[in-house]
Amino acid sequence: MAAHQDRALDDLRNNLHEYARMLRRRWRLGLLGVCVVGSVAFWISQYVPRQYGAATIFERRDDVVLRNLIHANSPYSFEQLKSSIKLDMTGSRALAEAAVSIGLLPADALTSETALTNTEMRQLSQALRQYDLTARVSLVQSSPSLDTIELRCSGNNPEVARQFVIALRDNYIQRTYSRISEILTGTREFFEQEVDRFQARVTDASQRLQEQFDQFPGVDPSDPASAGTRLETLRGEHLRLTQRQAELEAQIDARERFLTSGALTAAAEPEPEAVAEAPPALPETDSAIDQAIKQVEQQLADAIVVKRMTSEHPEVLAMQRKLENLRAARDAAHTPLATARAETAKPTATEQLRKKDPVMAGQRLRVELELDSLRSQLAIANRHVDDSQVRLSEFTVLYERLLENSDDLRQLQDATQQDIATAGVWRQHLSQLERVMAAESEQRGTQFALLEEPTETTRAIRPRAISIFVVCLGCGLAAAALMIALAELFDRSFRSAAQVTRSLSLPVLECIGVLNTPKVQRRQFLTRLAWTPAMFILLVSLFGTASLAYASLERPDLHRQAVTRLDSALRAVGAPPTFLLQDSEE
Amino acid sequence: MGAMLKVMQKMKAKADDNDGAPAAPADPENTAAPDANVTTPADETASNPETTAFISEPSLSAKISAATISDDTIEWNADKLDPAVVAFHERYSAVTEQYRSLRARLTNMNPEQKHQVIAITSSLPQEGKSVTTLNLGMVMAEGGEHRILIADADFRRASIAKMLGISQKPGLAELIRGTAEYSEAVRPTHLPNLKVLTAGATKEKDYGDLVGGSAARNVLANLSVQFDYVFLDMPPVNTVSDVSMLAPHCHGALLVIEMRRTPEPVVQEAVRTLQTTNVKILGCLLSRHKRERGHYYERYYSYYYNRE
Repeated sequence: MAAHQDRALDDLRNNLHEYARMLRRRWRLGLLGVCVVGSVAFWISQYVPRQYGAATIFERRDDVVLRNLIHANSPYSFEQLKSSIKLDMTGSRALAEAAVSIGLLPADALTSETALTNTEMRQLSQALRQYDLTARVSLVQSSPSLDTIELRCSGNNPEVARQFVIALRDNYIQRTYSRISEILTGTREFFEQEVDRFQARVTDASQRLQEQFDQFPGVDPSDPASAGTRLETLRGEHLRLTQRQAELEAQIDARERFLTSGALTAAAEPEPEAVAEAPPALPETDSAIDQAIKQVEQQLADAIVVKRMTSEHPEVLAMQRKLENLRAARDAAHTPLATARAETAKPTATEQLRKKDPVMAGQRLRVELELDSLRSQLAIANRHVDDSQVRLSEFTVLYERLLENSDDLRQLQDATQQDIATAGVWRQHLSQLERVMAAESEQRGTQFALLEEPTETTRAIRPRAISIFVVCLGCGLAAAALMIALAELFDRSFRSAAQVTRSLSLPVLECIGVLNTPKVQRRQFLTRLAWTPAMFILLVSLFGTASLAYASLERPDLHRQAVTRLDSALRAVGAPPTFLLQDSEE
Repeated sequence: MGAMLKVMQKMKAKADDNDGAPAAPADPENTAAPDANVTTPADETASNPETTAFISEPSLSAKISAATISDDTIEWNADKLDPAVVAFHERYSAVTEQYRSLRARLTNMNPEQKHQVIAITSSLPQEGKSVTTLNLGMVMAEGGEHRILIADADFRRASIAKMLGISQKPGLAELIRGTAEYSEAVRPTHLPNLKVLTAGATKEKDYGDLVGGSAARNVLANLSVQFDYVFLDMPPVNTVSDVSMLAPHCHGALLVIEMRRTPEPVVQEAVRTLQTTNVKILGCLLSRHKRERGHYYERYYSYYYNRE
């Protein structure tokens, strides 16, 4: 393996050594090939068709607010402008319009508003081919709201290329403005539709809400908690009335049993006349009520004077109510008694009892009066309880229905609120958009700024100088290599001792070098004498043609001057009609 | 340069004092018998340790200037000597060291120290045969250990004499024809153990007779006896047939190949030609071989020899 590698390395080394030896030996031939073929190639390169370029750089800055408004809220977007920028600038339509703008196509060449017809495409192709026009667009810098656009055109005529790039740019700007106007108009219509839609939803929801309120009179349907509180209040009231009713019934029952008790009955039965003649217990009753009134008045006076209670104090109020009740009871006791006396001449059991036992008669009278009062209160209480029961039943049913509909109602309310808010947002967007559209500025929505104007230049962009140099020198080197290879191929002389040994199968005893005799020196001198000017001419030819080729690409004005002078020089020496200037002028 | 010349003259004078006569090539008459009393430069230098040590010293012979050592020796005129003879002009150069390396290989290939006649040839003309012959002969003679003869066997385009700046005749052609003696044709040099044999005067119609006859073989046999190493500068293999006739009588052949010029098929044809004529090819010598710039050989060589 190692031996194989060593052999391969030796072969490589020998080959390289052999190539180097050939090059050293045939360098004059190689130089001749490089110079002659390279010069010819450089000269021919001056007649290679040129491509001239024109470039413009401009900036498109979108209104950030408007861009975000449209991008976030409408089916339109400025992104469409960015994604279609190449088509907008270098599409067939754009190229055709630019060609019409600079006069490459007649003004009436474009008949359709959309895609080009076959005839229009053919005319456009012919016009572009005539000037070898191509256009290329690239985004130098791209951000959501800022694009730096570079537009390049190339053609065989620098002025046409420059005009073409300007026309493409201006048309694009105008087209962009037009498209932005379309976007704004479409977006406004969309906003209006959305506002109308949400407004209709709000109206419908409000109507449904009103219906819900109508179904729950006196109750806020949206507030089941307060309705529940109210229901509890009703239940509490109903319970209180029921308790009051029970209390009244119990008091009435107690008094009725008192009246029907044996003491009062026995006292009244023995002497019916006594019963009729019995003095009423009114004075005692009145005195008791009066005493109670005095007592209450004294307590009231103590509370106000001694205890410094205000008239709003509950105890004071309670004592006042008690005092009023006592007074009312005294008045009530006076009025029925007088009426009874006047109506009945015949003495009643009470009168009889009064006659028999005035004290008991007074008590009986008081109890009967209380009983009457209680019965009237019970009647009222019964009526209140019935009313309360009715209200409670109705409100319970209402409340249960409210609970059933509360979720739907709440959702309806939320949706309504959301629709109202959304409609407000859309109105806000619409008003914002309308403010923008109301502006008279042409650059609404986006602004264009020109960063670099295409310059007038006669410097070709293609072929590139480096390419020309590589190709021409490559041709020269290839020719030199070919010449050296051919020379080596047809050279049958011996070039090494190994070759002699291999060819003759004889040993080489010694290799004698070149004798540096005067003859050899003279021959070398003559060789140099012939080669030096020849080499100078060859190199001058090579560098001269290379300079002309370079100047024709990079400095056309200088090239023209050089060609003019060379033409004049050739004319001066009587050369045949020169082709330099004619070709250059072409 | 003057000091060097004086040292050379001193060496020559000492050699004369030892022998009582100036160093001269072997008597051609005695060369017929290889075991005759032939006085060789090797013998001369071996008999004089000082001279041997002097010649072994490489720093001296490199700076020999134009001067005449004696009337009998070849005039080593630096102005006339071809600059390609780097073994004389640039003794410390890398190229000369490469020739020394070739010398070492040749001596290693001949461990029994047999006498050798080596033909130096190439596929095409102008590949560096003569330059190689001269430089190789000179570096082989360094140290005085071997008796060396540089002979020009390229009668059609004889270049040894031109490169040394000496007269063409008498030379090998005269020896083969028998019109000159060995003492006349084989010429001494400033180095006692180095002799030179030029091609001599020839005519175009004589080429075949010169190299194809037995006289040539006899001359080569005599020379191989007298000298340890005889380097024959031969014509190109693919252009003339002289090599096919002379080289089989040599002990071996060196094939000079010019790098990056001589096509491979041409060299292969030359090799086949030599092999079909039973010529032992000792090896190839690549001329005008361009090493890589800054090659480590040159770098270390420069470091080693320029340390002073």
